[in-house]
Amino acid sequence: METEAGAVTALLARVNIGDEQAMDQLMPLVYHELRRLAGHFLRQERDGHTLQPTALVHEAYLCLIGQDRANWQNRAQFMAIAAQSMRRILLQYARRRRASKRMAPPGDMREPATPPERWEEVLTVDEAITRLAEFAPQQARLVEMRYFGGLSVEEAAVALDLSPRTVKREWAAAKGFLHTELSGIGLE
Amino acid sequence: MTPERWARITELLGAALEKPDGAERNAWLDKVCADDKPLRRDLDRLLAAQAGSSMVSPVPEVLEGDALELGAGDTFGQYRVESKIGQGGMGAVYLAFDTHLQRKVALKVLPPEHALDRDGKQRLIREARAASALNHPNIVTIYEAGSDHDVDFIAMEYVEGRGLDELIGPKGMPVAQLLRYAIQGADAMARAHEAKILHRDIKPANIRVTSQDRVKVLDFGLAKLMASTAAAGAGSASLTGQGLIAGTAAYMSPEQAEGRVLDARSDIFSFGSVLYEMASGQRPFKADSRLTTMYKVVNEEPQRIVGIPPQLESLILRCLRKEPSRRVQTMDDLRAALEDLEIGLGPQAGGLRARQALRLALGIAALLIVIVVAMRLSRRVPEGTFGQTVKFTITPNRLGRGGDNEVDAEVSISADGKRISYVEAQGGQLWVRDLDKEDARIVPGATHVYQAFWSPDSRQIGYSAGLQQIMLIPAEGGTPAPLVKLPGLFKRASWSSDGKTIVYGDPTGLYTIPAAGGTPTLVFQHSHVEHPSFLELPDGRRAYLFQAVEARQNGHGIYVQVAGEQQRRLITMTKSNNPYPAYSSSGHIVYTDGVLEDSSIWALPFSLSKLAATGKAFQVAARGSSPQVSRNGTLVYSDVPSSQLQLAWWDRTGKRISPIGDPRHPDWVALSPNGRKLAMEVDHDIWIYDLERGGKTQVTSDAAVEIHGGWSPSGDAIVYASNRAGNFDLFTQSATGEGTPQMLVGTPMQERFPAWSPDLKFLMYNLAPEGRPGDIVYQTRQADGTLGDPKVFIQTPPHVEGDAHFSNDGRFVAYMSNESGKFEIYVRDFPNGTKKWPVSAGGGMMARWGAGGKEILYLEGRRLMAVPVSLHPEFAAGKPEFLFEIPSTVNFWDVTADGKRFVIWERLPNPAPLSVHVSHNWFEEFRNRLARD
Repeated sequence: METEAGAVTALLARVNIGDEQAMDQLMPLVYHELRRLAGHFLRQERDGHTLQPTALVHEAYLCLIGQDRANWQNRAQFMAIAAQSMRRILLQYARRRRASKRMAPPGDMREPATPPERWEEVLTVDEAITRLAEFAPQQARLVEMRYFGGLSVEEAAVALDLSPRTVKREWAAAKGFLHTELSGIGLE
Repeated sequence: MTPERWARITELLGAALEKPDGAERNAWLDKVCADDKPLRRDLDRLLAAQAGSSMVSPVPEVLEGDALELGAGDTFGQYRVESKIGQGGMGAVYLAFDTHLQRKVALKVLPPEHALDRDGKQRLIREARAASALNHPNIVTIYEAGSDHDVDFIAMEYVEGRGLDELIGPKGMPVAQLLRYAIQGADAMARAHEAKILHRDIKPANIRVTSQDRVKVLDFGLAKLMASTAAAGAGSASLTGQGLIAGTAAYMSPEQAEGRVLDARSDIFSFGSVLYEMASGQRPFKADSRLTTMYKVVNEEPQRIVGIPPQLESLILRCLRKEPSRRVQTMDDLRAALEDLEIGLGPQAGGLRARQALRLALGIAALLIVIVVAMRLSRRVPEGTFGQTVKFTITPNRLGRGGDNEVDAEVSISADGKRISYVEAQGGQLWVRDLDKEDARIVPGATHVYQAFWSPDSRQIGYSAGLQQIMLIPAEGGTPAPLVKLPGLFKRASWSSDGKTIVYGDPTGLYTIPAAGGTPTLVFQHSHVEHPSFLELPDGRRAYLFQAVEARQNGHGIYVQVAGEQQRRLITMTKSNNPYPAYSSSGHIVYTDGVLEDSSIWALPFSLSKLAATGKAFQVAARGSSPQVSRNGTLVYSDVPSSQLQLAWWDRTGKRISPIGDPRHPDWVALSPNGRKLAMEVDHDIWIYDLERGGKTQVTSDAAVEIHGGWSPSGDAIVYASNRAGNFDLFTQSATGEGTPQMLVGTPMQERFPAWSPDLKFLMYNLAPEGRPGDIVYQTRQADGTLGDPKVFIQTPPHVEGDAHFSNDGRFVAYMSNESGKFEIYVRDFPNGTKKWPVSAGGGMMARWGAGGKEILYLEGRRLMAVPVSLHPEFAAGKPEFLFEIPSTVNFWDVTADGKRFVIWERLPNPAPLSVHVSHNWFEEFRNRLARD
């Protein structure tokens, strides 16, 4: 971890002086770190903790670039990237879990204690976001940021370059859509 | 669900949520939905979902102030609204009529307050009024700040005319016009700054010009008022306090973008951004989103401005320095400098006033004196000449660079200031030139010279021979004497003033060694310490001056450490990769700041007794690098070599055939399937060069960034990635440059590196979050021409794959991946992707198929490699063969389908001559200038 944090710090320093390649090298490290943390949190989850993407991303961020560098633009930028990575990571876990469940013999003692609804929710939300993207791509991005990245309205507004007021409106619609999708109500 | 219907639902839902739940909302819904029953049902469901959804634990949501809309005829105190004339992020502006005073006014309506206390608001309004009360002809007057029905408004002078935002054309505006407006604007702001009032939101729209060419600056201090109101209303902790982030992103200063405390120099930066746009038509920091723009403001350097007087460019760039202490310091200075420029451009540049005419006369007189002196100096430069700058031009290929990756030309000056030495690029010959003689001579015996340094008696020169050891040689030449072995890298050296000791750096730390020979003594360990020199302190102690990179720092810092002490004192930070700090006996540290071609020479007042800076750094030269100062105050520095490269045809044997186009900053290139045309990125647009006839066609011409232009198999169409919709999506367009772009793939992720299969059935590309290369996916073209769902071809997180290309038969794909820890070239079977063949062995990037698909060519660093391959019955790769070394480190390249000819970026064959600048008693010139100012 220490080497990795060092590498990220060095890469960020290079990014700051305009080194494009450094940006390219940074992303895999971010991804890797999020993955590591996600694994850590998911293990904890079996002991009754709940899934907290926000905490996850924050921790990854602070681990990676250090508290003192956590100025806000880097933060919003990082969080928007992290949200996309987090969506991918959680989906992989959820899909793997769904697959292993299908294959597992009945009454398998190794079945984790994670409430299955949480995993199904991750998959359903992902599918709903994909559908939402068909007619409201911006709202889809917003949901991705807020649900998978834990961004606040303000942060999402900064990341999307919209006013918080607009983001609030878009969020209300997106949230409503997701809820109707998740609860199986559907829209006309 | 259609996008249009959903947009309407989103809008109605937002409006409904702003009405109180209950009868009122229901009545409103009945009205707007009318007979559209499904719409009403959807809205009801969405409204019901608002309260119930618990899947996200939302961050406490922020209350937002509602914008008040006024219409024609509405009255507001004594003002009758006529029309809306503007809408900023911070409130609306109306043209209104003052019924008492019978005049037109501009009425700015503030967002309603929620929590900002009356006193705080009144204080800010007072500040805005104070600025207007300055009664300056170029500042818009505020008539009244009042409140009616709890809505706050500001009534101000209505300026008929146009904003600079309307006046600046795509190429900017003529310099004379620019100066005319800029001087008035700077004058207004200088006056406000004098009264301790900041503008905080200088942008073209806030600078209006009347039909009589009178400039009027609007909205002094209002940005802060608006931001405080908004922040208080939002109840957001992050926006309270001094660090309000107000202002328009594109013109914001770095300190503003970071929410730091502002002073007048923040306005200077913003005004500099406006000047930049007036001069070029472009914003200095431009991006798709506010966030990215702010990131650029903080982290990136603006591009150079072409086609304007260099003094004006230099002045504008000096306003745009990241570090406030290194900008033009006051609006008064800026105005004076602009006036000087106006005079320098002659009467046609603008009306001359008496004071300026006098300055002009003096200026011409001064110029004549300089010419006479320069003519005399061209023959002989007496030591101690007072404050003149003498320029020498040295044959370019003789002026070596500090190393493969450094752009500094290496020049050293002898301690007595009478001679300079420099290194020839080819062969590392050392040359010495007496400043009062025409010709330079080789120092016989010195070879493979890197970074020479002079002894205090100016009779010996030290240097590193091939980075292997430090040698000392008499200045006239002779047999070099080895002093100490180096670990293959050298971080430069210098002599103590008594001639007894030499201090040097290598990748392990800072050392001293007796000049007569002996064992080196470690001063401290450090992996990035360079350019050490001795400082002789007034109390008899000795200190080291050097540059170093510390962990978590951007750029190099300049440090001083007293001999025998552990403490390292940071004197100043720079953005330069090589600041070359040098102490000047005038009481300054002279150094380089800025990167690449934007490197400039600066001087920081420095006290040897306090071991600290005693003033602000000032710019000595707008362009230059590697400064050195002789003991008696002669400054030498060199031009910065250009980073422009030439695109050229090369053959397989590494022979250059012919150039393509003009020299430019290197970018992505792709040859058409028949090799007759070339798609190239030129300033973020795609151009097509006709390689046979020599013409060129611009395919895209928008403000967005277009990259990775590739060809359809027939060569009729170009496929490329563009961020015109926010993030990178894929488009196709006719290769004739006519017709409109057609979107192929558009998702919230980034799609780049598009490539068609030879049968046009598959489109393969990189899919990644936020502009980082990610995975390789493909889509299948359907019978109706649309693309099917994306399918993942290669995905190996956290590793990166990219730049995929189909084989001629479409059965295999060559790509690069860093899965082994470094980038290598691989081939996989398509579409399964289950088999994988390594192609490169010692690293590889940017692979292309050649020889009719019978080989793969790629770059191993600068080495162009070719691997014979066979595709039947299964893929098989032979051994990589080295063809030739490409003539630059830029790895954008391509090869004709037959594998015989290459397009490659090369260093300019005849680079512009680099000059060495020598200035005797350099500080006298500045002493005079500073005194005059």
